[in-house]
Amino acid sequence: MQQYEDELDRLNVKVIVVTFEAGFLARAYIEDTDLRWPLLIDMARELYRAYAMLEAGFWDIWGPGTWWAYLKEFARGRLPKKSEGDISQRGGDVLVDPGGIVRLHHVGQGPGDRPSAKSILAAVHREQRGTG
Amino acid sequence: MRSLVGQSAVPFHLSDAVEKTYSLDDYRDSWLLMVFHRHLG
Repeated sequence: MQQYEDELDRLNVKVIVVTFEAGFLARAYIEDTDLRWPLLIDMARELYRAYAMLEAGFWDIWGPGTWWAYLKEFARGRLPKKSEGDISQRGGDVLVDPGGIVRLHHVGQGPGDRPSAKSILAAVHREQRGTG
Repeated sequence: MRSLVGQSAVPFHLSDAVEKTYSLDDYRDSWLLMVFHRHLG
């Protein structure tokens, strides 16, 4: 997503990243990824729950979709590493318009289930044109 | 899962890793993309 930072700026899209993990993990993540957006910490997972990002089931975590996602990462030369955090927590993406209305709400079923950056940008374009 | 598309965004007031606070109101008048991580590690 960070590679699309300029286009997001041009479209007046602000980005925040939300995690439930604080302290060393959060600081290390910011440093490791050179994160230029705010990393908000929702330790109580209240915002996660509000957007229905609850606990993933066994097949969501270890099913074929996950293995396919890891295979694609491996093909890109990125080896998966042992996870440190709560691997059952679902992630997702929420797009909110300037009027405070949710325009995109995606809850990931597993590790590989995220809308691509291009599809998110397409959704922004579509919503800004008023054809969404 | 109930989609919240078309509904008002959920207000939030959260801090980042250096204790700076952010709220939904800070993003009024712009689009906001919230990327929720599964886990960082």
